[in-house]
Amino acid sequence: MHIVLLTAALLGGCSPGNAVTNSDAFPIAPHSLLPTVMYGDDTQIAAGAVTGKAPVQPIAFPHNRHVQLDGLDCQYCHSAARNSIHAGVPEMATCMGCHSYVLKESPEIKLLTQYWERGEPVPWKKVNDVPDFVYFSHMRHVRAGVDCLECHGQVPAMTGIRDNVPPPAPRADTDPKTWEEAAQMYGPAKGTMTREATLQMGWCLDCHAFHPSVDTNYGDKAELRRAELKDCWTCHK
Amino acid sequence: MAGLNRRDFLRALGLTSGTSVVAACGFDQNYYPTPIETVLPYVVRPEQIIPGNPVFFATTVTTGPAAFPVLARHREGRVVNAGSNPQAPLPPAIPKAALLELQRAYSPDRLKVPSAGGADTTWDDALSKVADAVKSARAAGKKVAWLGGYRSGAIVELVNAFTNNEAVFFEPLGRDAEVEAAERVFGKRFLPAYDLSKARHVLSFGADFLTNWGSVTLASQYASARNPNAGGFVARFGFVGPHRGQTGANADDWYAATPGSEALVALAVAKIVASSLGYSGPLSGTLAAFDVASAIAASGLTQAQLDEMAKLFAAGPAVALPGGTVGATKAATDLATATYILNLVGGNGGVTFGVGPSYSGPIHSYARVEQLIADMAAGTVGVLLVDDPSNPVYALPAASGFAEALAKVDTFVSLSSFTSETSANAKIILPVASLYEDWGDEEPQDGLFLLRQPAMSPLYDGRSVGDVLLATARAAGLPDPAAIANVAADAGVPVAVAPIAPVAPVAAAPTAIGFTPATWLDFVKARWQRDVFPKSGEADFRKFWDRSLSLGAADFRPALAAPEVTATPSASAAATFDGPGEYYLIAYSHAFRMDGRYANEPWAQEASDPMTGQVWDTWLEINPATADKLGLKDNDLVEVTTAQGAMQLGVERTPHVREDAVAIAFGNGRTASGRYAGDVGQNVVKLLAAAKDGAGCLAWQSSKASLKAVGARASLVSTFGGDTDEQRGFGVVVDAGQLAQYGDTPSDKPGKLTHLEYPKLDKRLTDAGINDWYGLTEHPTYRFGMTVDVNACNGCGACAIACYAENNLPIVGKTNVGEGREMAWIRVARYEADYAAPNRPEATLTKDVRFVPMMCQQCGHAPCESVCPVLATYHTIDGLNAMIYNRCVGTRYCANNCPYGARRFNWHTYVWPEPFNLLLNPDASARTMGVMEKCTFCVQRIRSTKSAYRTHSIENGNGFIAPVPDDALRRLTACADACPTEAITFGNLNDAASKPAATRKSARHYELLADLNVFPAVNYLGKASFHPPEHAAHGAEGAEHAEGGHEPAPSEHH
Repeated sequence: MHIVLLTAALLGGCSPGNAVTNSDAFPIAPHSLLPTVMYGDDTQIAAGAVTGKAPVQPIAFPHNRHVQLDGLDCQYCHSAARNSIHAGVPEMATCMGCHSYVLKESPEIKLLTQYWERGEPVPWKKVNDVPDFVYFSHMRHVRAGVDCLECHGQVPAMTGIRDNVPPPAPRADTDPKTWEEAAQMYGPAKGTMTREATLQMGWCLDCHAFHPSVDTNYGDKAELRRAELKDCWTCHK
Repeated sequence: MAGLNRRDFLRALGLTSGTSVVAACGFDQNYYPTPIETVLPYVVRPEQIIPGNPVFFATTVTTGPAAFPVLARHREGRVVNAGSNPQAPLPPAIPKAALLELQRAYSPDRLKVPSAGGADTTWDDALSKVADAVKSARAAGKKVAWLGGYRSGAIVELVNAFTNNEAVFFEPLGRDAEVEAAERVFGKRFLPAYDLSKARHVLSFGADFLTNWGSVTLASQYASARNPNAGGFVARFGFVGPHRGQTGANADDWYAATPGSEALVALAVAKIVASSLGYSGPLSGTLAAFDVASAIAASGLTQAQLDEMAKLFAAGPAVALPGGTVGATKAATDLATATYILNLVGGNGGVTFGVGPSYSGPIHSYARVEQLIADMAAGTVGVLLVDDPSNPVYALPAASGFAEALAKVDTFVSLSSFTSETSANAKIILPVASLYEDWGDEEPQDGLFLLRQPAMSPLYDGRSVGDVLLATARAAGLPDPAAIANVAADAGVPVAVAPIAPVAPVAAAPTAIGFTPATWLDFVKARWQRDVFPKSGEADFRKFWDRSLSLGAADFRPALAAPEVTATPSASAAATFDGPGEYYLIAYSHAFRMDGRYANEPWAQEASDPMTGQVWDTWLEINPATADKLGLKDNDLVEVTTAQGAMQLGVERTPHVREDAVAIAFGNGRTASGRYAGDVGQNVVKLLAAAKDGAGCLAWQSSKASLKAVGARASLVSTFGGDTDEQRGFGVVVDAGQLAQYGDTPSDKPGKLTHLEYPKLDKRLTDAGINDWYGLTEHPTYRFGMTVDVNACNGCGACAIACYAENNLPIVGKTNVGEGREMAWIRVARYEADYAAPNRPEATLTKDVRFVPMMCQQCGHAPCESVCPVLATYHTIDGLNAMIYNRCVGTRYCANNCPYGARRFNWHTYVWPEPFNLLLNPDASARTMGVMEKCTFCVQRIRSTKSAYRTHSIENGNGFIAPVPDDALRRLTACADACPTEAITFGNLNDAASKPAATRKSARHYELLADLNVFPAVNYLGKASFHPPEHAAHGAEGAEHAEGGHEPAPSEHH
């Protein structure tokens, strides 16, 4: 309790608006005792990662149907995973490549189509996220043969559901135009993605120290590679 | 709390405070303790872009005739850095301008929308207003004029067509005198080409060719001429001028002739060279009429000094360069003429000097500007367009009358995206696209065509100057030059304007492109199809264009040839300096701010001046002897008065200026600018007269000043701790003569260079039989290291700015720098040592200067590591001193224990004002208050390069073990990539082929503070000196007498 009071007192204000301005220097942020990374819209606290995080998504995207029924590979949509540090949320054109023809009358697809026609991206919520001081490369893990599910959990079983979803119907003016409207009319979209791993440092290190793919890939140099993988600068930036 | 261990306690603290932060910031604390980010996908992903991966675009930056190819590094829609372009036909480098233009593109002071009559407006409205103004100016028979800096390529044709050849291409610190001199001697207006790489003697008459004079390629060439391993010689550099700036400081010999007499010195040297070589060419007449004694009398140099210069010059390929401060006296054109004569009589035409890859873009003298001002004052200029970054109200002397004449112009249109002294008067301001958002081309040498392409979409709605001109010309119904040309060709029969044929090379007679191309890009393409494509001999223009665009360049340069002398110039007289004072006032171009165009770029203010270490200010350089006479100490305030005005400046005592002269840098004292240049320093232009030389070139160096101590202190801030290395062996020199003769491979034979002897271990330890406190860390794969060649470093400071850009270093401002809180990870230290200059009138001492780039030495036994209580800094398996920011608790023990002063502490959390935040490198952290940081050898680049090689190896079935080859490491770090002279080379010390590993075998190799036994990974190579301290090159036997060189084994420890 003392700790909470103490930190609350130290944290008088943390809104980004009250920066001090110098005439010749960059403005100085108000002092804070916590390590924070201040750039972009991602003021992240290092110690906050928990499992079970499953925020409301704009569209009730069912991973299970795409993976189990349709048999799509993760990288069919998350195509950057092999080639970039980011796996990449698929571009809208990828969705519409199929859904211009498939399930056009589904309420979720109609919502997606509205965004597509307006040329607006769907504002997905990030679930599996690491702080900005972490260098994480999807490419390296995918290329090493780490299965997506090892970190992302049972994504093939994750459903996208809402409480009051109407049956498929042709497009009408009464259809929701934004995800906020859809959430009001159909209920919040749930279950699309849940964080199953903590993504904390100890969790990462468990694999970096013991993952069998290191032996497979590096053979007699596996110990050396493990030493490299345990180096702080492998992930910290 | 009993039973709670330290780790759990910290974890609990972290969690609870995390929760309270979230609560305080308005997040739902019952939901998740970390804020939820939104991730926006592309609607349609651009073909080349994979989120998370950089894309590189070859493009071109411009500073006057020094356009240079670079690679813009693009990440997710914005350019985050500029790098060297290894495919371009020029030695790789990043000109400082490339980085400063990048910061300029993201400046929070950039104007976002056009304005007309002081009110914001739309582009359509602004352009129609310009078109109306042009139309009515034409109707009234008034001129449509253009005033801008040096431009080459397609834009020149368009501007000339638009203004009906009333365009003035002028730069206040420009090179017009050289063009006037070329016209005088060779009958053609061009800037001669120079090849310094072949020169064994470089004689600069004021030309700051390592700073702002000409292309950064000159620095590469000079470094190659200084490299004993490249050509078997070490070029000797003589500098004639009253003030040694960053370029002059590199000189082996400083000839401080009386200001104004330099042209006579050049002629005198030419005459002695001509007689020793038996020259009997067309220039003999000029030299015969010239009396060497007049040069001796006017310059104060001795016959022996002139003979020495002439002897070196006559001995082999040599080159004389005119420019800089000396090239802007009332004898500016005479000086350029004299150096041309000197180059030719020395037999250097076609070797180091000549035509061919010269510059033929328009360069107008100040006389042309005066004519424009007269026209403006007479009310005959209807529309005046002033191009960015020209700022004549600030940069021209008040006596020029420009500001008054500007008021008489009907419509003054500014094409600047910044508020400036000039654009503040504009009726219409059109904030044009930045260099990184624009199309264009450049021709920095005849036959070398560089392309510029947008590396990102415009940040705001900035439009190309070319598009503005094309749209306006069409809207105003300007007569199309293409139509005119066609009418002329067809003898009076009007022909409809034909667009450029899309196939087949155009015939030899160039036809004007006119205003028909729909866009500026079409115009540039048409120009390339007409002028460049036929040179390629290829069949398909589209293929040629695409390839040139991806390479950034097309190279059809002719060989260097001797120019033909068409007229015999007459010999000149010494230039005079006027005014009531007793000191020559020397105003020089600043290494970063140049003529003031980059004054509002924080990097240009915060990066310390190469010679003085000064930041965020203007200062007066004065010789210590003069300062003593006037009772002035460093940082004393002094009043400088000339016939034009007076100002108070802080004093910087330096031996690099004559005793009867004072020097002030251009580039500060902006009165209307952005937030960073405002109230910084003073504008030296206010002290200078609007004098001209015989050919109408502006003579900045024509004023005398008087000095008066004010009796108060100034507030100068310098990052330099002193002028010498206090005999700690930071800036080591070796004998250039021996190097040239034997190279730098060490040998035991007498006369040859031996390894520099410097104490490897603390003597007390070796005496006690202790070689090592700890075992050395093993580095089974990489041991990353660096070579810093002090012989190649000329102190330009590009590395420092590149580091700011790559590693997200904040701008802390003058006050914080004054408190030692600057954040630069690499600093270019300047060390000096005395040497007795031979052949001086009296046995005066002058200074030998070494520039030593200093960064974290990534020690094998790092003193910082052992004192860190939380293991935030430690040694990696790759041999790096890692610094883990979010592990650091800010005790600063490491910085206190670092013998190199390489560590920086974040005293504050700095916020990048928008849109500077878009320039942040996403691959590196932005640090916050309370965290230590330092050079990481650009670990983010190491990481991504390793990853790229591993991927490549896996894809080719070669397995996961993929060592990064030396080629990919050499220029890997931002500083190494920026360096035009390969003074900084990165590599793997475990790889014998790498330069850092090979360096360790060089006779010039030394380590900084090697006796501390910290095993630095950075190797230094000694500077070749023609005035080495006695025995400096010989190692052990000379060690006891080394001055500023290496020192013997110290009995006391540091």
